[in-house]
Amino acid sequence: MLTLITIAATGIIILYTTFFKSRKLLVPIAITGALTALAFNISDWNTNQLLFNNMMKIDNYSVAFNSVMILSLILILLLSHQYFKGVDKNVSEIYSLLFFSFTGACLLTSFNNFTMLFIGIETMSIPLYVLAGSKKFSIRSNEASFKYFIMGSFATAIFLLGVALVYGVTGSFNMSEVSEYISATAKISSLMKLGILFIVISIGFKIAAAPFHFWAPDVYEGSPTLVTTYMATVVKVAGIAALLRLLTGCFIGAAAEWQHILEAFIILSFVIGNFGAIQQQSVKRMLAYSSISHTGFMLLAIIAINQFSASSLLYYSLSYSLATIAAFAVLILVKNYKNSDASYESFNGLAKHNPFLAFVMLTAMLSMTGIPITAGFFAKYYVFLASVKSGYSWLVICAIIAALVGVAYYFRIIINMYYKESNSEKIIKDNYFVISLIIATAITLAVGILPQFIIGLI
Amino acid sequence: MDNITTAIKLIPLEHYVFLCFALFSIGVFGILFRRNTIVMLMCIELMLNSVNLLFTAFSAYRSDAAGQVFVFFIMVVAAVEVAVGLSILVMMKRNVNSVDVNLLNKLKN
Amino acid sequence: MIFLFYLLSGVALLSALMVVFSRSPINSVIHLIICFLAIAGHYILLNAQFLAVVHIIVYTGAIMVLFLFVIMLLNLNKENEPHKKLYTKLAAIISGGMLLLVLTGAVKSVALIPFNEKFDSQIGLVGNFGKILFNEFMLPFEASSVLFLSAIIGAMILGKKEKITNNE
Repeated sequence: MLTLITIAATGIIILYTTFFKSRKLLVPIAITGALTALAFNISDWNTNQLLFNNMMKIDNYSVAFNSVMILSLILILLLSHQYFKGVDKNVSEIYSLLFFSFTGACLLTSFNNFTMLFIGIETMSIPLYVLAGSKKFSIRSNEASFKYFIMGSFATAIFLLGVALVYGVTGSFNMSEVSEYISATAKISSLMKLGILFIVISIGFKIAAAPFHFWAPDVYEGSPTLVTTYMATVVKVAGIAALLRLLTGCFIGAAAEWQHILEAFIILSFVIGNFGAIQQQSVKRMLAYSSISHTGFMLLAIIAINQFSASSLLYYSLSYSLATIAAFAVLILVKNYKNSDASYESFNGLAKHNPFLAFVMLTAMLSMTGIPITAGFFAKYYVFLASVKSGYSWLVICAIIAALVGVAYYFRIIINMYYKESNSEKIIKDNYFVISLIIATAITLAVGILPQFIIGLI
Repeated sequence: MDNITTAIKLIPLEHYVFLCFALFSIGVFGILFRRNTIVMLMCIELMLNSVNLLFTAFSAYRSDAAGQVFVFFIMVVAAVEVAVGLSILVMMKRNVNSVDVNLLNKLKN
Repeated sequence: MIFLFYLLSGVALLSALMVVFSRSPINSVIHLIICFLAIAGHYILLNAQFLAVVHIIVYTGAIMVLFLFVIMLLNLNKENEPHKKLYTKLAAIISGGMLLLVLTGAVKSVALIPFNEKFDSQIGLVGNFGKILFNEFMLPFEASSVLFLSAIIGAMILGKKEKITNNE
């Protein structure tokens, strides 16, 4: 609970810094807030509390996912200092919106009632509609914001219809009561099935799982790159964590119903994500499509629904978040420096003058592909293990093919960086940026070598 | 008060459910049918309202007030969504000078 | 009473259709207001008095006025909306109809809850409502304050007029 309060309060404190006109304080205050929240969060480990009339359930699952998300938030905040250097308007408001949105993300990992799930999704999304459009004079940013808004509100309406149907059948919003109702009834009524379908579809919208991904490439490309990083990491992890919590805590008795939906999600995410990514010329768009394919891998952990689901999903989320943040960070620098549209060519010859950046990008790409030593390898390994144990071998074979296709576009960047010539110079980056990159790369490698630290947690 | 209670007894719950589904479908249809973004926003409001009515009907027939409290939260979110959505529209209108959805295809190429 | 129910339903459905089909946005807003008033009537029929009042205040009083305000302020009330292609219109009709069919089909095959014997007509009154809102639903109520604050800030960021500066 203190985690939530700290995050929300940090947002409000940041708002007040507008009065002092001190831009230098912003990032330190934000990071202090996030670190305090992390400390409070970890102090909840092994406590298992049910708060406020069963509205919230803080257990190891929520603490672990909150920690991953707070780590991502801190890394993104470290990147933000250099990113917002040229901007002089509304910067503190943008930071506070980031924190408010993060409050919603924290609610999503620890809800125990449909009301909290609903408020969590909305608190996470509504600041994001604004953040996506925060580059006010760029028409692309406007468009991204509008598309995200219409799709998001549409998904909200569908979600509410689903909750209404579930409420109509069971008469309760409480997760455990709904779960009891489902396990008590022999035959799940068609209204209940429809309700589950609508709820899963609407969360599929939020995590950009194909076939409900169509907004994602446009929104990811049009939004400011830092906001895209946030969307691709924190928002996606929160949505996936909420989905697993919902399906295990509430709809576990109806597993046969929603597993078919997820199968379709996974196959389509692999196909559309990978083939979309191969065709792209812009790296930002490629990363957007690759994040759709990563959603497929994460859903693979959920569809397995056994004791390995949570831990493999946690590990995958961590490795995916770190690699994505590192990749987007390098992209921000390259894009700013070349002042280009971030095509593959702008990465040419990066290794020659910026060996550090090239190395960071190399680890990120290897981790996304799933090459050993980086975290991505064991992430995929454990996810596959979980789903094979539940008898989804055919999905795992599809996933392996998808991972192999992934090599095509991830290695294209690596080849461009190391084997192509161009007259690039050293790119200037500030200290915060370097710290963030070092942390992301170090954890990717450390966790890749010693996976048992994370995998044994929950 | 008694009259009202008899009303609930006389009208089957199914009729409320059909009404809400019809309103919801009109909302979905409207979003796909129209190009004017402000009308699309209104259709989303229509969808949210049909869900509100559905919740209230279920809650009244079950005599469980929780459903009506949930409607209260939906209203909160609807108000927030409209505020943000309209300000996005205002911003777009300043830059593009139109609220036609199809002008928004800069990102495609 | 039953007559009232069908009257209100008819008004709601007709005005909802008019929202979609009327050419000028102002007409859409007016029809939406009529639709919302009909829904408020349904709330009163269901004895959800608090919701009926809040619904009128929030939707017809605030949200729709905001819509009208934006339409008039930005002079959006033009009727020269270009036509969509025929096949997209057909697709819209088909998908809306399919959704309706699926939903009604799902209800048809299920017996909904029977009439509750311990029926309580008082649940929608302010006193009852408040007790539940501030006991059971305390946390969501507080959490939605964050939502409101972010909406205020967001609307302010986006709506404020600024001179063009070079972002990024």
